[in-house]
Amino acid sequence: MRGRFEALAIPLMDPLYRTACSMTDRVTAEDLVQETLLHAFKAFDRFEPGSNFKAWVFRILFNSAMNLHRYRRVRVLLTDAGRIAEELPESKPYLSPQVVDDLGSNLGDDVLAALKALPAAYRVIFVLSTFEEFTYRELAAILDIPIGTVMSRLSRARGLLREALAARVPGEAPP
Amino acid sequence: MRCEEARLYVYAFHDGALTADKSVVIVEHVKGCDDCRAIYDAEIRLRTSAKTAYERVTLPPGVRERLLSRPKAGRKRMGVAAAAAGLLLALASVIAIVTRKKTPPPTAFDVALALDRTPSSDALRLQTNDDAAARAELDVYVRDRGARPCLHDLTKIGYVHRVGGVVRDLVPGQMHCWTRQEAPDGRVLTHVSVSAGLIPPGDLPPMGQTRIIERGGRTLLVMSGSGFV
Repeated sequence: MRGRFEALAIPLMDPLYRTACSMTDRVTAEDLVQETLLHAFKAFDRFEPGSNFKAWVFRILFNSAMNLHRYRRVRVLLTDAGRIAEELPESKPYLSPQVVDDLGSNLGDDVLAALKALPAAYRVIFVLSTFEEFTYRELAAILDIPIGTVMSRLSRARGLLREALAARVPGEAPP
Repeated sequence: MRCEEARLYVYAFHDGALTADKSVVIVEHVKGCDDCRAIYDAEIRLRTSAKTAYERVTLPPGVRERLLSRPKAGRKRMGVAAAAAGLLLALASVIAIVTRKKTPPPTAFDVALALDRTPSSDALRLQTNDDAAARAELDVYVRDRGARPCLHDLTKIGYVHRVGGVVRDLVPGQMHCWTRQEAPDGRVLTHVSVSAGLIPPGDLPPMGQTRIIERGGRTLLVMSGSGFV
């Protein structure tokens, strides 16, 4: 069983670590990955072959994070998401190609820097959706939130990111 | 499909959240519309560049092997009760008063290292940063537990400030409350909460009192308190 588990889990170690880093510092992120793998291994006999192992393990990652922080993270995520929700101005539902052009070769690093400044709730859902490519339904299961919340939170994350990226371009008005 | 409608679906399209039929309609529109194609292409460039940069973060060398070789050896963590009990342990607050106005303020690391290289407190295992959002997080955490893990009343040293401390990773693996703020006269106050055991007994003032000590080239004001002062 261990061989089968490792075959599935090893490719996910870096993605788990990267996602954990979006939630906490790197030392704690290592701990989170370790706890996630430990819990996943213990529960592996309950994993249904053929279902989405990555989504299953990431769900464990978030449960581990909640346990590690004694449910603080959940409350924090919901809280800071609500706090920002009312502050976001209306904007076009896409990023201006001009901004992408102007950021040029720094685009990737600029996105990461802008992400870092986002509230955790938005940063995490953006990472899971855009980088780890989970579907909205999978995100709802991983984060244990309604799918409507997934969509609205993701939309706001992107709105904040658009604002932040536009602000990095000299002379570019906010979208 | 009109451009306005096509542009509503930029993210949903790239997220793979549209039906096949809708995706086909969008692809057809984008093929024949330069402006919309530029918008869709920009999103692809953003995702590709950002993902490439994001994936540069990998597990540090040796960690993967360590995690795989010890799948059952989870690092010991404090429970809620232990954390709560820890919060009630006798602590000493150390306040470093730095009077240099034009030099950079000390980092939390400076303060921690000036105090000692082996802090032993495990009372605080919260972790956050020192920005507004993180302070809000800490406020929520505190409120939800009916405790005030790190709210410092500095009236004793001449300032009527209630300072909400934030918890930082001062040294690897050790979290301590740390905060800094500028006083009205321009002085920078930095304090760090540590366990009483970190302060040599000779430097620790009687409970509820203060004592000024010199450590690491800095003037430190040490206050002793039970719980968080």
